Amino acid sequence: MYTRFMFIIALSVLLASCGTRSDKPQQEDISGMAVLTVSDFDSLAGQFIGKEIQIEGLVDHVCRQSGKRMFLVQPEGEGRVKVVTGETIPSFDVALEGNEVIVKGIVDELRVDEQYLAEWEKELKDQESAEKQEVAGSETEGTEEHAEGSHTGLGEQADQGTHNPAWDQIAEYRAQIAASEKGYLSFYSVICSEFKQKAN
Amino acid sequence: MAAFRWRRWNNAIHRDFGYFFFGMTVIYALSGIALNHIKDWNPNYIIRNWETAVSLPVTSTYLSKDQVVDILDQIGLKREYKKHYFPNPQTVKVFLDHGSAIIDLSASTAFIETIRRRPVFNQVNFLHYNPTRWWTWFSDIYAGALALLAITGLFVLRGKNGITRRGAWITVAGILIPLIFLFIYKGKGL
Repeated sequence: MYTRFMFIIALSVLLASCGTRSDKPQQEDISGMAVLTVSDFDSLAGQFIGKEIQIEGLVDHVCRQSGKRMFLVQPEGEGRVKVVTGETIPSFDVALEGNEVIVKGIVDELRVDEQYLAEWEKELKDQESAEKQEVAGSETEGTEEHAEGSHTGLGEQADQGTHNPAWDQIAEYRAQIAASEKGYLSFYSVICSEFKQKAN
Repeated sequence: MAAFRWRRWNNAIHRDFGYFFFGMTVIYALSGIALNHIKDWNPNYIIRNWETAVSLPVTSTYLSKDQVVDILDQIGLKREYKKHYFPNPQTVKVFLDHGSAIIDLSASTAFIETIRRRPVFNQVNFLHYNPTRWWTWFSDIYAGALALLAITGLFVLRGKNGITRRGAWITVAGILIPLIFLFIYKGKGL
């Protein structure tokens, strides 16, 4: 009876896996949507928040820790575009660096205002205080790494690939907010749903 | 009607689920340890950084591919060349097959970063991050199976090592440890 039971389970799993092969066909041609360049992205992205766009660029940097972020540049132009993984992309491989890619995704806006910075500062203080306790408890070295402290939740969201220490970054954003008329900074990124390498 | 032999079923399920999910358990055990210590190391890549002096061509405002390859030859990375560009007039970023080099034209130095995939950990971490919807389903099934393995494991043995005697004490000890952590750290408001 047990053998029959296990056979039925194995058969069910097999049938279920066979039924899932008819995934949606891959779309080769990504047309019919706005095509932005790295150089004009920052100036035009505000018009496309929540909308799907296509953008091409050279992969300048991929986040080493999670692979969840990459940054596109245009070698002969200005600008740098942050691309983050969407639901369908688990991570970006660092081997993409130096390759031209075509990315399809939704434009997202992150607004950084004084309240955001205050919460980020609180996160950093909490993290530093927890790390001090750990260091004191274990009597190990490592204060140099802790001084960076940039990998908090809000810090990662606001990361624009500069790798500045978090406190310096906050001070810089605060100065930029003070100089802006809007009272906040907008950082645009693309939530990637699909990408492919361009043939070299 | 014969009595339902629940212990026989329990042990058979525990045994066969244990065999079937052995691979998944190793994957999640390794990636779990790796990701627990993500602040201390990079589980996905082995990264090396170093800086070195390089000699540049006399006119170094623009560097051709051949000139960049010659510079890479000085540091033993000639065959690694992939592409290069100028992020600013003083800097050349060279993409390598396994990393990158940033050449400072004013200081005649190169900052090199080599990256290689960390064997085993790179692959198990990839799976840990749920690469596809189907993998998420399979890992959900695995999570359910783990709970089943834990429950059936309680009832595998009878007698002095079973759940009613020695097994009970060990099980309670295992439950107490997370409860003590909760009491200590939640009590501190962390």
